[in-house]
Amino acid sequence: MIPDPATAPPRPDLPFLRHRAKPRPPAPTPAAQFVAGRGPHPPHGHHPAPPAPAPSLDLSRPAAPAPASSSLDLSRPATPAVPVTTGSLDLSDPPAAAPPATGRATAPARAAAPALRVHRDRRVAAGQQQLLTVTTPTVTLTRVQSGVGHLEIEAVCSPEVGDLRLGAVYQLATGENSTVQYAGGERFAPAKARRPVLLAGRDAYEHLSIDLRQVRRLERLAVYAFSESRTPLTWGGTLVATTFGGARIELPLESLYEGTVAVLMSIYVLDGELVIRAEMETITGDVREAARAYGYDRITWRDDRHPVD
Amino acid sequence: MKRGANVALTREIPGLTGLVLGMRWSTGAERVLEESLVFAAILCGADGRARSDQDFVFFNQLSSPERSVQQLEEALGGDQEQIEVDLAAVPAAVDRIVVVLYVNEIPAQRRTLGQLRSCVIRVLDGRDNRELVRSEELASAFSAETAVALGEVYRHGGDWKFKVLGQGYSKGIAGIAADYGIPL
Repeated sequence: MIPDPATAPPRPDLPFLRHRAKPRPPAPTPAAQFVAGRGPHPPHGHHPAPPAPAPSLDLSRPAAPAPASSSLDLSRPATPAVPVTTGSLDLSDPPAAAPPATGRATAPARAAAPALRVHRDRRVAAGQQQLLTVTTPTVTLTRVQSGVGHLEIEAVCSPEVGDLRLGAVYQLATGENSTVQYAGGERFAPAKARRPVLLAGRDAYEHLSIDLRQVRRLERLAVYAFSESRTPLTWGGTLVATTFGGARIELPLESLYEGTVAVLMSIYVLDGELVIRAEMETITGDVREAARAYGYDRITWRDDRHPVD
Repeated sequence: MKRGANVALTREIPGLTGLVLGMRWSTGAERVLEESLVFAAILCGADGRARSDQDFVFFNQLSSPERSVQQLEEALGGDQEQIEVDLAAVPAAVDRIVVVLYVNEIPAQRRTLGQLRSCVIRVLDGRDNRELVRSEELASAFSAETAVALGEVYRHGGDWKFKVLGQGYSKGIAGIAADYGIPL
């Protein structure tokens, strides 16, 4: 059924291998130059635009916009750490820490291992706890954490918050968009799947789980919360994501502006790694507007809360 | 080959440069089990443990960093899954490569390896896909296990040997991760 491997064509469809084939030294981005004291303040190009999958991908570009456009900077004081996107700008690693990543396969200590990471973002180890805050909004799981077992996302909120319900709007690798939420009965994603990628449920609290065996079918999702009765919620409690190894990624919800719908967290699959990011944005409107605001625009809606499906 | 039996691969087959570890299983009509199974390889140091998460090669990490151990997205030939090993490229610090099969656990759908009708690990010559050895039928010994260490390719003197393990784990991949030091 499949031809002899000796004569089979090459496999350029394995993006992981292609990434690993060309490990790059850290790119001298304007931001990194600035932090190292070697360059002018970088132009403000890195706004946390939600649909952009990963600002850290910018590292692969040879050179960011020329610093000559610094006339734009006059409006802002020079703040060394860009507040919102610190984690994704790769400022955490000093450039000198990464050795030149050549293909010395037999190096015994394998000192080059950190350089082979595609995303040198904040990580979390088994049993650890990481807090998502305004200054450190992202955590990246390793490919093992992103592919073994299941990831549980739970809204730990007391009844004082109101009738908070949890849901997620997702995009699969096929391009399919839809929502999954326990309230309303859309418990599985895809809707009629025998083996769903996402599962919504309710025990002590509302929760979502991602079947990580199927993580390669998933492209991205955004976790939202809403008031079932459409009365404004007194935001409180914590959104907790728990990995199979027991690492907890916690996002306190107190700081949200009052409203009935808010996007809490987004998860992007980048080269097999799950990037978990705090969004914490109250939305004017309902679930439909939240989905559109985050670029999930291939959904047809029955009303402002439920897709047609 | 029975459990515990070993064979000196590079001594008996001069010129052997690469191996293919092929996994054959049959789940009968149990589709959920079929789709939950994961075949993986662990690169272990001299202490028998993985050195980092990058030493775990599976469907979401198809290659070790130096690309000595690679999983195929689609197996070539009659196996369900295959992992290729380039023996010369295996780092000196790696003492053994253990291949495992586990059921990816999600809360609602509990499956075990006891539901497998058949489970056989094979070793092929990487040059011509010729079968070198195959394990005995391992499925008959499973009951509530959710993971199994199938076999290992390991250094012995200057040679590479292969041994059938067939060691089951009732705690699934978590048990294997604890034994082989995979950071979950």
